[in-house]
Amino acid sequence: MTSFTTESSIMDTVQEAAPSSPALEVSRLAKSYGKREAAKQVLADITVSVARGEFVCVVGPSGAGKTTLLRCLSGLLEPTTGEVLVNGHAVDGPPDELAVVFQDYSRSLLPWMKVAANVEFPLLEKKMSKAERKALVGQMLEAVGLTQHAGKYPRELSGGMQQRVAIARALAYRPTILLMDEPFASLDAQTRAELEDVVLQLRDDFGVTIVFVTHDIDEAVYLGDRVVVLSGTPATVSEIVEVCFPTPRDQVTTKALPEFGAIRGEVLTRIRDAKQQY
Amino acid sequence: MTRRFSLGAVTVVTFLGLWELLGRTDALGDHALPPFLATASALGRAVAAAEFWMAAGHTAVQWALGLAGAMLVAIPLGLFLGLGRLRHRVTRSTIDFLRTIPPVMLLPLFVLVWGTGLKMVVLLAIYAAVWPMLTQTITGVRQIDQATMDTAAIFKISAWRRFWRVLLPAVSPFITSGVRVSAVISLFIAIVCELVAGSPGIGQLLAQAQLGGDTALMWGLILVTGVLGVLINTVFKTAESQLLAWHPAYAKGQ
Repeated sequence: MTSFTTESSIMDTVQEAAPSSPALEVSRLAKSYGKREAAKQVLADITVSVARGEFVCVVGPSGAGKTTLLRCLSGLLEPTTGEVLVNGHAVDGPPDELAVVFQDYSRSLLPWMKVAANVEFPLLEKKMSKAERKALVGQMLEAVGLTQHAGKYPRELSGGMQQRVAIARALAYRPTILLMDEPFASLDAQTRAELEDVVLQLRDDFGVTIVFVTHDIDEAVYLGDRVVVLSGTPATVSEIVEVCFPTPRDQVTTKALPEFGAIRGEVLTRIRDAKQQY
Repeated sequence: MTRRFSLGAVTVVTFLGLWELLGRTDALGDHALPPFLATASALGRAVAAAEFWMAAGHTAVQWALGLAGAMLVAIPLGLFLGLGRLRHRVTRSTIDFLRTIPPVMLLPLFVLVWGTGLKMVVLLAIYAAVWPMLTQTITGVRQIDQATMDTAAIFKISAWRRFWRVLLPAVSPFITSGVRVSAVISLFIAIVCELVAGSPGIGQLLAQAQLGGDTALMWGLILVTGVLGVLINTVFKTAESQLLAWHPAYAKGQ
């Protein structure tokens, strides 16, 4: 498997570039839409740091600015003030070492390309041979359990499977940071639980840093190493909760832990308190 | 398939039988509607002459040049106007105004400037056929989802690939339906020019048949233009379903 060595060397060079810095650093970030008097401030003074390999969930009520934050982190949106650093470098447009899984998989996947072509598409911009690309696509489709569906169009797959394709595409891009914007919000509970475990497994397999935005508190507590609670208008970080369950996590036993209920309650209280203040 | 075909055949035979009956009883009066068989034999005689095929060739060339010219104008312009919010807003009302003017109204003006030859016909056909493709292309670009463009930005897809493999396929269902409408319009304009301004083509033959009082040939030529329209529509629809095999509307077996 020659493809393995090339991939790991790509990852190594990225990490060597700034060995001591955190994967993601957000300092005093604020974002307003509109100009002057009509300006509406959505985010105010967000400061968060995410370590390499960490899984950080961002929760907050609908309309709290979670998606705006994620768009600022990914370089799709320029913050009004403050700064975002990815692997020690200031973000100015989407960084090379970052990939995003969007909520709306049906629009994020390109419907005119078959599954394998969708996963391969971003790789066409990288300096890889055709054989390397094909090997990587095959490996990623296998990682998300879709090898048999490589030749299908996205519309021929269920929602959960389409989101698996989007995850495979993001991972094939070989990011050090993966941003996920409410990726499972439009899936049923059963599929969501399955995909949560897929993501946890992939984090272990590929050592990627994950920032996961969700409005589902249970999901955030189950997945995250830490949970960042966003609340208020404009949104600020009202609390960062450490989650210290044993790994690997399990949908049944982890959620039955007394600590799970305690942390879940803490996050919920935080969100409720913040709501009452406004 | 065979059932649908035989149903269609029954309809056509009934229609032609009714035509024959109405023609024989001279239902419209003044021998305005000759029986179908008389029409068919008049058409048969015309088709045997080289003159018919010359005329058909003229009509076909004018139609094809009109459509191709309109595509060359409308698709790039539509992409350009659709991609900028300001460009779209500034030009929208002008486009809506111009496309509601019946193109035939411009025929006297075009004849005045370019005469009655091929050039005039093609230019008017282009003018008329531009609008459906232009508005469809603009609509197609405007409806592209933010998530699609965000995805291209995140994965740093080059401008070249973004155009050919993201933008164009996303707009293609709109473009193809515009092309299908424009193809029929281009034929319509070519025939009207021939009929009214006397440009060479099937329409001119029709005008001559009218002057000569040959109603059977007139009906025969009307039939020919109808068949041409159906043929064009069928060909473009088939091409469309091949090109857009990925699209849910063309999904096989669903």
